[in-house]
Amino acid sequence: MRRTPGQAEEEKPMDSFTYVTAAYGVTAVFVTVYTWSLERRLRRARIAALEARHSEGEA
Amino acid sequence: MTVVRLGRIAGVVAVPLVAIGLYLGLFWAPEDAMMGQVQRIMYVHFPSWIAVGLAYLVGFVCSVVYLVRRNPKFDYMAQAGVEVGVLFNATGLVTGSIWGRPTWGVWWTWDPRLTTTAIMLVIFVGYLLVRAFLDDPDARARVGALVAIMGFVTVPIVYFSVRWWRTLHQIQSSPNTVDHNMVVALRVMMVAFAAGACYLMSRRYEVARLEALVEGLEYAPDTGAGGGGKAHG
Amino acid sequence: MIRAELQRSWVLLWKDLLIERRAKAAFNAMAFFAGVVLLTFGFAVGPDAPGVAVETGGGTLLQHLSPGLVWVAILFTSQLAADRSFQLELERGGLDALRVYPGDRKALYFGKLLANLAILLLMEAVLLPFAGILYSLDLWARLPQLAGVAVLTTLALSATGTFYAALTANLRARQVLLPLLLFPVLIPVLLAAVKATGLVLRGDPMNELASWVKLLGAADVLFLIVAALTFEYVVEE
Repeated sequence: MRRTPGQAEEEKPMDSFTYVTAAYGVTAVFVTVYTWSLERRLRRARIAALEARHSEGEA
Repeated sequence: MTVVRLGRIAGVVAVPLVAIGLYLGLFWAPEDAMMGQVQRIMYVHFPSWIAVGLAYLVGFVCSVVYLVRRNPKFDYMAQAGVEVGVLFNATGLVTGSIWGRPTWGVWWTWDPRLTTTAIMLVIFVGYLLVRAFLDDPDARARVGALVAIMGFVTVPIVYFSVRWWRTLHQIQSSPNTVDHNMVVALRVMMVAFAAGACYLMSRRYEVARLEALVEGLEYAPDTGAGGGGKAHG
Repeated sequence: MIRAELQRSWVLLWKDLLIERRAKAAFNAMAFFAGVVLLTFGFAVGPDAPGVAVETGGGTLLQHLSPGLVWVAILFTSQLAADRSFQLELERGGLDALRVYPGDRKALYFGKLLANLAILLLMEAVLLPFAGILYSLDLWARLPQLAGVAVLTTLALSATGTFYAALTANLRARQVLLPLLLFPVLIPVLLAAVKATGLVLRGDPMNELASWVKLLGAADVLFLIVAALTFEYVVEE
């Protein structure tokens, strides 16, 4: 059922809080998880690159 | 590497901007006359699209340049652009759906703009999936670039088709952004997201570059190294 | 120079059509597949589904949905046709044979595209009457307009199908990847085709048909240009 904007105003403040928190929360979670896993991958890649170059130097 | 340096600057800029933007959007800017507090979702929903547009544009341009020049750096950047674009595309869709629920009563309304972004997400996830199936880095880069190019140029057509498809049945509504404070908060968040996207793209670029380096070294003929683990594109 | 390229496209086109003609089984299988899809939709929706309001054209739900169902069936089949046109090459010794083919890659693209287009149009010529019978549609009255919409739409299907089929020809997972790449890009074409077909069959009180036809035309031009320009990279190496 579509509600008119007037009806939306009648939403309890609590509901608005939930929705706003959900939206901001989801964005924060997505971005944080991606950034964190990216940084981890970068660290591992740096180590791997150093190791590979080191072994290459030895070979 | 200038990409890494610029990325770091972007990251340093992004963090305080996000903090300021969050304060402005959640507390300082006034409540919307019609939609109430729920409209504050706008400060995190609209800026996503700035990040998406920027990232996919980077993906597209670098794909074109890669095809012509074959410099692998452009492939790394294209990949970074698409991946970061997909991230913000997803957040935009989810926040859009969450916003729609109290506003329209349903989680999904086939709104032209949201629907277009849903199709964009599918197109560019397709890019990532195709790449996952290609082992040869050159083929991966080339096929990826072609998918990105065809996908990107289709977006305007997708948008118009969906818009015409829907405008007979629904009026598109935008929240009232005439209020000056709202505009300020929105602009701050848009710059924050754009900077954040640049930072993430630079990091992803670096990951791609290093993993390619390791891959190249691992398969170098004289190397006795066991390598630091399998690299993926 | 252009004349030579046109000739090469033409040669390719005839080669593919001849192969198809000899392997009639494949065409029949594709047409039959499309027919089965239409039949399946018929069962999924059901002829007894509640009627639709008079303003939207009356009739059963199945009739109302029929443009959408028909075009989805054609979309599925177009993907099979595009895939097949390059698998034929691969079976006979790889895309190398195509790569060695002299001349501009654009000629290669257009040759393949036109062959695919011819096959699909032929299949539609069989499928649409079948849909008309199955869903009780009066197609004969509006045949020229329907044909126009069908040609424009099928051109888009062939243009993108040829592009993505060539791109994924060598991949192991191509049977999943081809539709996955192809369908999102064809959504605007599907929308336009379904809307236009509906308007042709049920009347166009607000003159919307022109907009949809223009969209189909624009999509055709866009796909053709981008695919032709990049095709040398598609069949590379």
